[in-house]
Amino acid sequence: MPIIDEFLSSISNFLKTKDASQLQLFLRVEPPLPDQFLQLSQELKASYRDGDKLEAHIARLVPEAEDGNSEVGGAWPGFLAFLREYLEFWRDVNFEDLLETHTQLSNLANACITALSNATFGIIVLPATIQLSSTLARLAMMLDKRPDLTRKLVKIADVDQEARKTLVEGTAESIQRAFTMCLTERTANRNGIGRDGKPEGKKVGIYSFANMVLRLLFQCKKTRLANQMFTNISQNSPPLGLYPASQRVTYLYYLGRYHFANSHFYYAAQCLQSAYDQCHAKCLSQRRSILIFLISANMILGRFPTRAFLVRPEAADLLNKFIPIANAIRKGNMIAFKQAVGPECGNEEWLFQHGVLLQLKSRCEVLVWRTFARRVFLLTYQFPSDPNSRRAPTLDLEDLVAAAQYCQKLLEGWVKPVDSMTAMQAGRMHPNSLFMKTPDLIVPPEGPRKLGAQQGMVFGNTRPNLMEMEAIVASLVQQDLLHGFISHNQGKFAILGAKQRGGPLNAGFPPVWETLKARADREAKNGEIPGWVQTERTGMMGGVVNLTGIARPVGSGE
Amino acid sequence: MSAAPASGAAQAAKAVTTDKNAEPTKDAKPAAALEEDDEFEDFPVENWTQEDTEVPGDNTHLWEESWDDDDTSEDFSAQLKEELKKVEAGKKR
Repeated sequence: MPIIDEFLSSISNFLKTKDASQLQLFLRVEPPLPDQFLQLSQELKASYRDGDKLEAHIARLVPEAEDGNSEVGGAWPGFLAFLREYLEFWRDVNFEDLLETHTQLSNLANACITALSNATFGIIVLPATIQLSSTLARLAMMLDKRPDLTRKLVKIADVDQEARKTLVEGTAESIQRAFTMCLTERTANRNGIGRDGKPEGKKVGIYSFANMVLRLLFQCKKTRLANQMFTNISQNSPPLGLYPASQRVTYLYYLGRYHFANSHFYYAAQCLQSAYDQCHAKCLSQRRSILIFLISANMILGRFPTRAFLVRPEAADLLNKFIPIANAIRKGNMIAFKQAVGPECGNEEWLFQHGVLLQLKSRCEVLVWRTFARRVFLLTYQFPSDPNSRRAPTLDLEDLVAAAQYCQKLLEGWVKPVDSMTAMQAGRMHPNSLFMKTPDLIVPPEGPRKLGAQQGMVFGNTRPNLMEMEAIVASLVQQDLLHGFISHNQGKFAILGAKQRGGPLNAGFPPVWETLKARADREAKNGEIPGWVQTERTGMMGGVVNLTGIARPVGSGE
Repeated sequence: MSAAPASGAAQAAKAVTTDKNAEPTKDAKPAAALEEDDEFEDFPVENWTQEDTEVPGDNTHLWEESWDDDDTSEDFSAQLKEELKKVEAGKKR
């Protein structure tokens, strides 16, 4: 008996017995594979060059299910078309040519997804669709890293004179079709949860497909395309908690990254913290990937990683990328901060490659300004001799200007002048040096260092002035990072509520995390994070009612 | 990475008795060498329990939320202090 006949009767059998996992095992495409697949391929090459002949043979050995009888399993037109595509794949595939293989696999996955769309029988090919799509996604990711192979594709696109989708983006689109099919399937229970408490029907596949699409969209940097996906998930998905741990963690990782990329750092931190907490303790690589974004999001929110991470193997090499930034924020040391996120410290490239540099640079600088103002206040404020004094504690903006100008000079490479007196005395200090004024910094002989826009205190080599400092303080007040008001006429920032809040430092400079968390909680509408379904959808969420299948046009004959 | 138990094992073992087209050991995922440092790897297992996520050590103090530092003795503060003294002197003049 030829192996193709054996293969087809086995398939027919699995359809009858509705054995989805056996079907999945038989419908594999990814090497390494058993020899039978090679034999199958050879038989197909020898006897079935003609596609129509192949189709007829398939129809003979894999009979269609009886109309309207869903009790007994069987094939359906979409499945037969897919089976033909599958066998043609094995007949024509040449794994040496990966680009062509991708095209063939793409067609195959599309045919499989179409087979999946059958309302009665489609679900039996769900595991096989997940398997095929996953192979396709992996191949696309691999090809994306091989420009030597995809160059041909770029040339074709050039000829077409239009902006063509990249291979990865196209693949994401194909798989998104399967995702949408699973998500919008009409299930017996409106919330999509079966009697066994698990996701019903095809809804079981939602996050398998979503995670593949997300991985591809992040790879081709088209994350904004994920927006619609998250909206639809929020409206139609059963709770994420009903899905297996690997799917939950992967999904929350991408959702967290999505929020991070959209500057929703509080949402991001919550998704990523949950992903980290639910991740398998031994999956160090995944834990590390999650931590990179979790630490970044938390730093931006004013929460720094503690030494507790030191003993965690996945965090071992991560801490020294972030600690210099945290220390600079703590001290309000802008020079140290610029170094920590700049080329001097050696982490810039790494932070950039991991997609967190720009956010850390722009967002943490705000926190440095807050601590910088706090530091200047700490150094200049004279606590009143009268404990009952009703005067509000103030920070003189001129002091802030002087401190900022000093920092600007340090950034530009200004130096301390050589003390000729000390030099003459062979290094011995002048006896009165303690009482002498420290000399001003001087311009280095080669001139001040030319600074890029973000390398200076405010902008490149611009000298910080009163107007700029006032604007920065006003912005910090507006963000609730400083608590008080500016008296423009007096050129001062006055702290409010020092008496009630245990002193001017506590009152004027509230803890960053407390402030940002309070604001995020205030702004959250229903406490749910967009894209993360935590409770059952009851159908009363005000979503759009889908009438396809109910409201048919008059005279459509069905 | 020391992976958690391989997911395909049980399934593949079953396959070998009922399915001559399948081999027991070939369900492994493709070489990890292709995957870059920053890519989120596929999990080697599908599901696990709460206990599997627990790691030894301090799990309650991972984040420091109150980190303001009032120590002004370090070098940066000392330099700022000197500079601010000059401003103070200028104001009084």
